[in-house]
Order: sequence, then structure tokens, then C-alpha cells
Amino acid sequence: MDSITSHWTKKSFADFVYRISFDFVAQLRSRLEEKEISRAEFAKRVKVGEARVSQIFNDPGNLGLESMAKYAHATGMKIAVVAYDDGDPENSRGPINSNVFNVCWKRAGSPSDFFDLNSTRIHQFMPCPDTSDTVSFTSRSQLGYTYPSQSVSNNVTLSI
Amino acid sequence: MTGQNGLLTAGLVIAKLFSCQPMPSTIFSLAAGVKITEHRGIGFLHKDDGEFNAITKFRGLKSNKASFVRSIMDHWVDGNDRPTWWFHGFNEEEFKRCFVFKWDEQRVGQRLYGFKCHPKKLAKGFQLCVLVFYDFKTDKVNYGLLRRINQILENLEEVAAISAKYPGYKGVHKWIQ
Repeated sequence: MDSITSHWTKKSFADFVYRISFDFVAQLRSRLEEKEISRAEFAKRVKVGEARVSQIFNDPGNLGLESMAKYAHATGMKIAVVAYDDGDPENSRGPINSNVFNVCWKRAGSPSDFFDLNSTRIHQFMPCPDTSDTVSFTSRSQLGYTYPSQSVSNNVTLSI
Repeated sequence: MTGQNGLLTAGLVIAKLFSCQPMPSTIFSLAAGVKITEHRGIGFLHKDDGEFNAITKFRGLKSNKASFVRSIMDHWVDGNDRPTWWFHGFNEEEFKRCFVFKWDEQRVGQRLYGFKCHPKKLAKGFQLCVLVFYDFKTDKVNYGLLRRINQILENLEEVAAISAKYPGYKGVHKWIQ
């Protein structure tokens, strides 16, 4: 990896929160496009003016959890708060894109609980990071995978 | 005599340094603070005469807008090619190397135009977006700027600026053997 100055979100928690709020808005906008929900319709569903919707999309700022849950609900989605340890406790590389967690969850068969997770082939196999559309699998033991993780989580993100 | 010769030699070296190695008028730098991975990165070209104004706009962004633009850039670096309202390439064959990042400020469209290249000989999958021009507008694409970007894509001075960071880079898809 190239050496760069530290990621811009390292400066403050406010910047870090801004970045994950942006990720949420990116997922929200993609959902609106996918479901062909207009901004006007979305504004109506969340009971705010179109100007406020435009403001959220152009400057997400510090969105509260309740607002996020409300906006996600209006498009038929839910939110989750995910804490993770990416081996970057100083946040030099910035947060992991929230949608990565969402895509991984879908690749794991969208389990609704740990029983569900354990009843699938994911019990023995887990997806590897893969840039192609095809999901490849490597055995958990090969990866030295233990579950649940005992590590201390340093970062928090929000995933739909 | 030895002392005089030494001074003369030192003087010649200094003169040579100043006469043969002028400061380059175009330089390249990575976008400060924005994520860079083994797959994607973003940088800017700067020129003495100020023609390349994308860097000026980027550095002048205030507070939340700076965070927003950096978030958009991170989003692309993370591997997203959508949504296209924040960044996209161009379908026209003539402008297939060109790329733009977009956002609004008080309902006025803001644009940073540039081009994409693969500057690492040993990691050709790495995509670098080199931003050059800033423009603001309400609707249509500024094709004049895209044509100018096509001109500078292979300009020796601009290629040299990028190769100072990525040795071996000799222009879009050309490599020093």
C-alpha cells in the first residue's frame, strides 16, 4: 500500500461519524434508486420537507441513530450497529465501508441469528475477500477462525 | 591554490544544479487524507500558472463540505462505481479516460474533472484518478475541459509529474521497458 498522510477521519470522532453517516446516505440513495422511490415520496414517508432530504443527501453531518432507523424503515430496510477490529486502532486508514458488512451478510445467506448462521455451509466455510463477483470459500480452520471473536473492537460502523 | 580550486568546483556544482535541474512547473500529489488502497487512489496535478485548479478547490473546501467531498472520494476508492451522481466516467469513446467527481453547493453543481490511469507497472490493476480541473455549473458536462484533459493525458510534463511518484509511468498504458 502507498504511504499517505493519515486518513482525514483520524482528526476527530466528529469526522469519523460524518464518514459513516455518509456511508449510510450512500446506501439509502442506492436503495431509493433501486426501488424507484422519488425524493418527494421519501420525504413524505419520513415526514420531512424535500429541502431536508436534499440537505441530508448533500451534507449528512451527524445523523442520529433514531433518524437513521426511521429513514431505513421508510425504504423497507433496518439498520445494525457493528463494532469491529480491523487492526487499525489509530484509525490511520479510515473506517471500513459499511456496505462491506452488508454484502458479507448477504453472501453468508442473510442469516437471522446464530442458529441460522450455523445451519448453513458457512458453519464450515466462510467467504474470503474477493474482488470478483464469484464468492470463493476457504475453510475456517485454514484461516484460524474462531467465533465469536474475543478481540476488543476499536471501531463502530452502521450497516443496513 | 587548492582552496581556490575547491571553491571553483563547489561554485560549478551549484551553478550546474541551478541551470540543469530547474524546478518542475507541474507536480503531482496524492489527495491529502483521502483513502488509498492497493486498488485505487486519487491525486492532483498542480501547475505554476494555476491552470490546474482542481487542487485549489479541494484545498479550499470548508468544514462539512470538505468532509463530504473526501467521503465521496473514499467511496470510489473503496471500490464503488455507483451511485453515478457522485462520480462517473464518460461513455463517449473520445473521453473514455476522463472521470469526474460531483457534488452540490447551494444548489450549484460542483465538479472536479480528471482522468484515470494505471501508473504502477508491477500492479497494473491499481487505478489512479488524477484530478486536474474544477468547474461549477447547473447541468451539462463541460466537454471543453474533457478535451483539454485529453490533451494533457500524454503531455511529457504531466506524465513526468506522475512518474516522479510512480517511476516507470510513461503515459496511459505505456511503460518504460
